[in-house]
Amino acid sequence: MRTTLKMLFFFALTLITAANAGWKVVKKPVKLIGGAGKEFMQPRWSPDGARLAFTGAGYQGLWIMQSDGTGARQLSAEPAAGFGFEWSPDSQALVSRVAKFEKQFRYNAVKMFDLEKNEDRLLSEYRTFMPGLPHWAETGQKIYMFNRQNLEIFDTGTKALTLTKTAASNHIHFLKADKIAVGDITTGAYKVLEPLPGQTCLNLAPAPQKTKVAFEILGGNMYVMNVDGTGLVDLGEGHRPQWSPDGEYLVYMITQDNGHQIQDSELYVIRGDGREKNQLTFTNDKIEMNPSWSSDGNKIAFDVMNDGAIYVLEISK
Amino acid sequence: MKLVLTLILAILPFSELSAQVTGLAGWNIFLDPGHSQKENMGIYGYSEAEKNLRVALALRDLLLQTTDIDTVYISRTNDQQSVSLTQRTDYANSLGAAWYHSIHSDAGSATANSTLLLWGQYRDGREKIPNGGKAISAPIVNLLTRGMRTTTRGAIGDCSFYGCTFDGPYLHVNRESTMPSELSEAGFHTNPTQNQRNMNAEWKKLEARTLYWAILQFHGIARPVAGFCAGIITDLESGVPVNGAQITLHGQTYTTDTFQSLFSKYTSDPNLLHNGFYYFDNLPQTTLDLIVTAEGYGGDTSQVAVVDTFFTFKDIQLISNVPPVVLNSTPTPGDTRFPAWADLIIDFSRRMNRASVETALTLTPEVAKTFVWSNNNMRLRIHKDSLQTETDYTLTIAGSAQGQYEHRLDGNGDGRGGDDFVLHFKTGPPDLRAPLLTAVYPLDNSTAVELQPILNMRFDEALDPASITAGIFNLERFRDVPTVEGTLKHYRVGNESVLCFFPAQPLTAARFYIARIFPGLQDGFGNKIASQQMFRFTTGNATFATTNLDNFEANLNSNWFVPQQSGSTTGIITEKTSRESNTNVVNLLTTSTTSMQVNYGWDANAGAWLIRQYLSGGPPRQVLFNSSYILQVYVFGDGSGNQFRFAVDDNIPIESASNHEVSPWYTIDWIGWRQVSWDMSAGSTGTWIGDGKLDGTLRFDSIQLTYNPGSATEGTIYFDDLRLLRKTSVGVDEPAATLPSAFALHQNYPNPFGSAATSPALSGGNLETTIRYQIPGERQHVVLTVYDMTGKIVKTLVNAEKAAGDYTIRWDGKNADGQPVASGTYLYKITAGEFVQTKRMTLVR
Repeated sequence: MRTTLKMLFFFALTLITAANAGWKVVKKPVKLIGGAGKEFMQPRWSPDGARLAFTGAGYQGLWIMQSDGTGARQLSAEPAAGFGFEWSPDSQALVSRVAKFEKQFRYNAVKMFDLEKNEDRLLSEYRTFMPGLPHWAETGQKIYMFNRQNLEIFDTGTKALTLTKTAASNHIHFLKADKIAVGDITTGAYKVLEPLPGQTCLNLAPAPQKTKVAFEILGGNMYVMNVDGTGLVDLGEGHRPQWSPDGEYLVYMITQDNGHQIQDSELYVIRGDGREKNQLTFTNDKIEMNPSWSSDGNKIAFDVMNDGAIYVLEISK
Repeated sequence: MKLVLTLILAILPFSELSAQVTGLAGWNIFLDPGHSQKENMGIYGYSEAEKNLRVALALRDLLLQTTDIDTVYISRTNDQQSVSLTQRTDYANSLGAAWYHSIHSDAGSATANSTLLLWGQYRDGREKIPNGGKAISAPIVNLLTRGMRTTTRGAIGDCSFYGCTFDGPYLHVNRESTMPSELSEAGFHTNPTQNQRNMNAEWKKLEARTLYWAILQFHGIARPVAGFCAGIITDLESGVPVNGAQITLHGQTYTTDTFQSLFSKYTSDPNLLHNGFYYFDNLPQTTLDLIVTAEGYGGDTSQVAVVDTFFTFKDIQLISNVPPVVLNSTPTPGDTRFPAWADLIIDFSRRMNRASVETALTLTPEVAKTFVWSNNNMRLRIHKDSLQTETDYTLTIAGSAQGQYEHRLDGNGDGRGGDDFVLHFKTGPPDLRAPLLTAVYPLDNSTAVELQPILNMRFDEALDPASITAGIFNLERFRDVPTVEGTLKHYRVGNESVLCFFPAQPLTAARFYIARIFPGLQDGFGNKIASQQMFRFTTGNATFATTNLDNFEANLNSNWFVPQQSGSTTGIITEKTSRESNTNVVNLLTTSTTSMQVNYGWDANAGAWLIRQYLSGGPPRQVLFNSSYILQVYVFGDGSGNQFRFAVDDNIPIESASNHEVSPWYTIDWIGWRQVSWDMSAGSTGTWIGDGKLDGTLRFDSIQLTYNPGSATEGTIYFDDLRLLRKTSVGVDEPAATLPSAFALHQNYPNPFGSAATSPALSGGNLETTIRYQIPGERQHVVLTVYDMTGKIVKTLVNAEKAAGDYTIRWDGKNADGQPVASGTYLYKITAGEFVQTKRMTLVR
């Protein structure tokens, strides 16, 4: 009875939508997995929409499951495996920077998880200093990462995807220290962009079409910028942006904290040009975080920090 | 990075280069100065966030400049950034940092000051993965505590410290960082001493240095030669740190902070802030001469042996060479209302030679006196026989009085010792105490109060009518009606006063009301009530049909006997006993213009006492009823302690002396108006002539009074609006009275609250705030707790099983120890089953 009441309250609040035009929630959130004693977070849709990858508390370990929450399978129990992991373009593999700790030292390595072969493969040796995160290139054949001083490219050993070539197909985007780098996978050349000079960029999110990037400024707001460095748009307060499949919108979170704990977090959607900002969740007792937009454009996966569970809600325009 | 490091090393002094530490290659650390901008303001205006940043920057410099560490990351670098918790951990995680250390200070009461290390811990007690935070916490807390020269609460898992309601860890920086982590609390920024020291630039290097040494120790790296000397310069007598002291050591000179150099950033009072802190580094391991000078003090020269393993602490106490002065006195100069019976108190600026002061002190006119010294002979209390009231006095302490170190008293404050201190004052009148509120009706926190109560406030002495102004009283219906309209009436009864408030309309059923008496009421001597008085009550929900018996507006003489006409009346002094009409003391709840006044005089030597104020005829005597009714009358009491009761005849129409029945006695211990009811359906009766049963048809007989031995033998009682009531329904016309259909935690009211807060209903401060919450359905175990912004429990207000209902709880701004908490934002959180909700409130003192 109490649980039912609580969930009704939660869902009723979540179904409330903003008055202005834009995305709205059309179906109450459905819990997929997690809870006390088995807390999960940070769900990410596979590009084909069939699966979700996610991690445990503290980004320890990596799991996948079907998009309906069934068939959960652990790929890794390694520390840090769940931070910054990325799906391959064909949804058949994941890449992450895993860590191990020996005495006081941290050792990092790039690891690929092949879901078809059900095997994982180290692409780099373990190193104490690895300040970049690995990313897939468009065709899925290569993985790139900015290392201490250079752009490092790994061959995945997989067959290249057959894609409709666009001008942006070879674009790569990564954080070089605290700046944004845009380059070409075929040449390895890149240029560094500093959209707000002197400021530190983080949580870089390239749009699926590779024409724009979203990012946060440390101690500042969330922004969108064209990959040539033009068209900077200040989107205001926001964290951990993720693009809609058409590259038009972003889903993200706005958190409140007291310097010790996150006290509240709600999910929002906004156009890349700063218009049509809509709040998706309105709860007082749930801390909704880490949204991810499904490839069909109709669903948002997210986690509730104080539940330790992953949910999906349906949206439409 | 290496290029930057090389450049930095190139400009370092040789001593630092020679202290190059190896063993950190391949390692890096993410430093997180907690909070942002000027968050978590310290007690004297220096924030935790500013302190944390400077400690982090100093530690970063130490690690980069003196070790072979790969790099040091930092979550913010200035006081302008506002960095969220998720950005801090996202940045560290993105960089793949090897370690995460968050730098903080603590908050609490002004007397609390200790260190604390919090490592990441799961709810089941295990250390978070990856491990390491717990292991490094041990050396950190040890060195940090020694460096801060305070106590410690130890190194504790964060779930154990705070209590986790989820899997944990509790602290975000421990929960979402992918590397070993911990958080250090270096003392309390709410502690006055710590906050003033935190302002000093070098003091923060102590904290950074202890963290640096702990990192080296954790890595098994030998600590480089220390060569530091630091300490506090204080005034020997007052213990107050000395501003502007100059300390010379090994050819270097350090000047302690002054108002001009530092403290003017935080206060306009040049005497408020002091830390007395000094700091030297790069010292050789040997014994050195330490020379301290300060304006207004004798100098000090000592030796200090610089140790090679830690900070060398050397505190110095200086003796002032400024003549002692009188800082404060009670009475203050020129006081014209000093209580004749009170002690005189003199506070000196320095410790005094007791014998010299006592010899030098005179009080004119002369009175016998004794002396009590305290506060290290800096406070003198002069205990004496009571002075004469409204008389001029002069207290003199001759300039021959001396301080402990033979400095003569500077009585006139001209900076030179040897002159007299002279204090003129005048004693006040005999009464210097403000009126005291001794009783209220309805009682504070009472429930099921009638819907038309007369609010009654009794004071122990007569009030000055001029002080009873329009805004002196307010009745509020909580949350939605700031002021309930009505009439406030003052009555003086003997040497006491009573204020009666007559609401203009019936109150609302089942609602919470707050009555407030604001400061300003005073007695005839001008002694004012200085603080707000308040009482609260909740109305019932019963409504009644009313039948008037007699409102005493007319025909008093024809309807009612005088007391002596009844043969039952006995034990009176007849010339002092009477019944009459009164048009001044009436019940303003109704349209009454006249009441029945009964004057009584008892013969204390009689064996029995009764006044039977008999209803002899007229329409009131024609009213018949039965025992299902309530008999009610408004009684203006005299507070005498004598008694009153109702009498009825039963078994009407049979007329018989044995048919007289009575209510229990009601002791008249109140003054002013009060509604008195006899619920005859409850079956409670008193003893007189009848059988104690209310049989058949009833008729009103009389109001009766009796003497309660030991009580007043003379007095006056007024009666108004004698009537019958019959309960008609249980009326509920407010949603608040219905059972809630959902959980709810409402915003506290008023908000902000506290002595400096105001609301439309108040001219003064709201010393407490009320929190309303609703519980639906089944019984729930409810916990409602107030937290500070660091997540620490301030006080648990509710921890009990609660049935479905609408509840309110009040918080007076005090912690669990009963101590007032500081101004600021607080959280209150309710947990009822699986319902959890948190809201914020603001306390402004």
